[in-house]
Amino acid sequence: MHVFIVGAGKMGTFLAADLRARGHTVSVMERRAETAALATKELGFHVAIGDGTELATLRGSPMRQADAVVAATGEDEDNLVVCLLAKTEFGVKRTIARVNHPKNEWLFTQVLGVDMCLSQSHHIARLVEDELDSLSPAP
Amino acid sequence: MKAIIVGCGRVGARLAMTLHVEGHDVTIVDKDRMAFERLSGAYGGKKRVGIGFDRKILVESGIETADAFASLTNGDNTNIISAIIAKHIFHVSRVVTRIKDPERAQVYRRIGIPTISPTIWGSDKVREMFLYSGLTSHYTFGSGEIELVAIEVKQGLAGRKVADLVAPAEIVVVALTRAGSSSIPPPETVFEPGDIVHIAASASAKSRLEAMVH
Repeated sequence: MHVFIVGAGKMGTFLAADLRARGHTVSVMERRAETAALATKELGFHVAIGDGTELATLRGSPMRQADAVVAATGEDEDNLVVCLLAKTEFGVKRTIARVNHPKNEWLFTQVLGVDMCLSQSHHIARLVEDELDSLSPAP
Repeated sequence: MKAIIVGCGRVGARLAMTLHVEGHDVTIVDKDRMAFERLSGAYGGKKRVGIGFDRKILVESGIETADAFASLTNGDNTNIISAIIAKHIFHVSRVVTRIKDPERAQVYRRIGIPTISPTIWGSDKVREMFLYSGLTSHYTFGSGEIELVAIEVKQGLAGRKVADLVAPAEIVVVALTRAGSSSIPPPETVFEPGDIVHIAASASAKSRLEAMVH
């Protein structure tokens, strides 16, 4: 599968390496030049520099061929716009977005082109709850 | 009318003050409290500190019963997300957003969000002032596709008929002012020097119109 990741911070880079190791075709775009350079070094393949919320940039990007797009930037509004454009302009089958601020999770729905969202805070909270549940005796 | 404005920059502040003075119920939202200093003492509407897609802020600002919503912050992405929420989640009947990136503005217009693009509008306007100084635009419709222009009849046009100017789907003579009184002129009306002619023309027909009247 071809996965296009927008945002090469810690999460985007980790995900890119992980998916690649599992045999997927991965391409990555990052707006900040320095971050892109760091990610290129870490991943061992070229991370494109560009704003993944800008249509002109996306037209020349691998988003066209992607089976799935992951919006992994540190800004929730940017992640939503990536998904929105992926759906409306490029007809991408699957869009996955990172939720940075748990308060914004309600926005990550199909209204804004998001098929699935990942909220680190919620995920951690659930793991902690499970852990606590396993500690306390059943009522 | 109950209106919510997100972004208290120059445009947002001015809009908020104008609507308030006209008697509308206005709430302005900005993430930076200092931005409210742009509002003059005459503004008596509500102010809220927060971001334009925070559910709590929006609900407290009365979005569920609002008639109009405008997102006018500096960020295109913030603006479009706020506008889509207002329209598709809270079903506000009139939603307008400002998008600086012209390409994105067109995409959003296509998905049903009325979008003004100061980049397109501004560059078109300057271009027009450079190239068509003879035609003053009095009003633009939609996103500037159609303009209402006024011209004073001089030698070039005097003696010709209204019908000579009209081009189907491109140029229409809307009104003619002669000696201080105006009318909607029938096609056979002959222009006289000193007449003021109001014409609605598509942007694409303006250079042709320019050639016809001079």
